[in-house]
Amino acid sequence: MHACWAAALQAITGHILARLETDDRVLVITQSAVFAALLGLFLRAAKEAMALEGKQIFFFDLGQVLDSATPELGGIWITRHEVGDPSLFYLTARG
Amino acid sequence: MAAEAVDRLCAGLLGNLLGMPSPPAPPPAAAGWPGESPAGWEQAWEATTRSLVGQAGAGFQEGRRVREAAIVSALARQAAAVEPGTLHRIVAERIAIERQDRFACDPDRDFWYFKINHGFWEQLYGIHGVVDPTKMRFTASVRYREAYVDSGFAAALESLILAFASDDGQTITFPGMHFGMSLEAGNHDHETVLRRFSLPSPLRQAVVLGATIGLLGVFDTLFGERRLRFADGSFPKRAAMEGTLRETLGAFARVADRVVFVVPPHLSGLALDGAAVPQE
Repeated sequence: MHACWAAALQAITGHILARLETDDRVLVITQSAVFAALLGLFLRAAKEAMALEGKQIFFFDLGQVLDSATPELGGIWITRHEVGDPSLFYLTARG
Repeated sequence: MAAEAVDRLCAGLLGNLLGMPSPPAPPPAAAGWPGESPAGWEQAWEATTRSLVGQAGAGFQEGRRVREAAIVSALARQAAAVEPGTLHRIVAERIAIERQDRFACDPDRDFWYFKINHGFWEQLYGIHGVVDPTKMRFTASVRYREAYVDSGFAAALESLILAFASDDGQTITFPGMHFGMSLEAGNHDHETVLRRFSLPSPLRQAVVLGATIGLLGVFDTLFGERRLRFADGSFPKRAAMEGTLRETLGAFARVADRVVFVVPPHLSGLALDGAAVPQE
């Protein structure tokens, strides 16, 4: 993700901001290593530049915690730690 | 705001970040993104990013060169100072991280939580520093140099950190956001990390020492010597292990109209339990 940061920022930020056209509040949840920090800062800059009244972004970088939805495909952390609420995230049939 | 206007806004911001005389074009549509099939888009985005960074303005390129030289010197200074015997004093003086077990939701305000834990700071030390193996566990930093430095990623991140940080001359803070930090992998709160540092484990000590050297070296380069105040980088993992993450996320999901996941391909189709809104 880091090597494609500039194009990824444009595409992902554009996608999320476009959602604010129809939705008032968008909850963004990410696992994207250090790119998550760059995305959060850039998205905030873009959101503020839009100066939208009554529109909110809730941004959570949860990292490897999200692997609890599929421990067998996830990284090392989820194989070595037990989560207290294993049904919090799940994969839909789409996945 | 129409999609075209959003694209123009994002391009303008990216152009500013890269110091380009005019905003870049939106990236070409990448097959399979967003959606189920990631094939192809990552390579397309990497090529676009290389091209954009290649076109960056002189200010961005010169800033990278100046910062790279400064960071080598700052890391050498920190590497000489940060030792097992000085770690607790230096961290107490320079790095404040408050434990956070949950976040309250204000539906009328944006919320920003992200974290950069030990690994990135260790890797920057590994890339730029003359590495002492007792303070650094990475030995091959070529791929990190390509991903973080050569790609322009670290320079862009530093520019945005500079833009959003507040500096009162003594302390760096991040108003209106929660910028998380952990000197370990985020399994323990900051106090516990420091307490565990004294236990005999050369690997764990190297992680904390390397992260501290990298973090202080980078921030010294950006702001000069300041105290750094961060949010808790261990919040997600601790809350997940303790089973309390649902409480925080549920509060935000209840007032949200949509959930958007930005995740790698193995998490395609991810959903948050109990969220009664569209998820993508």
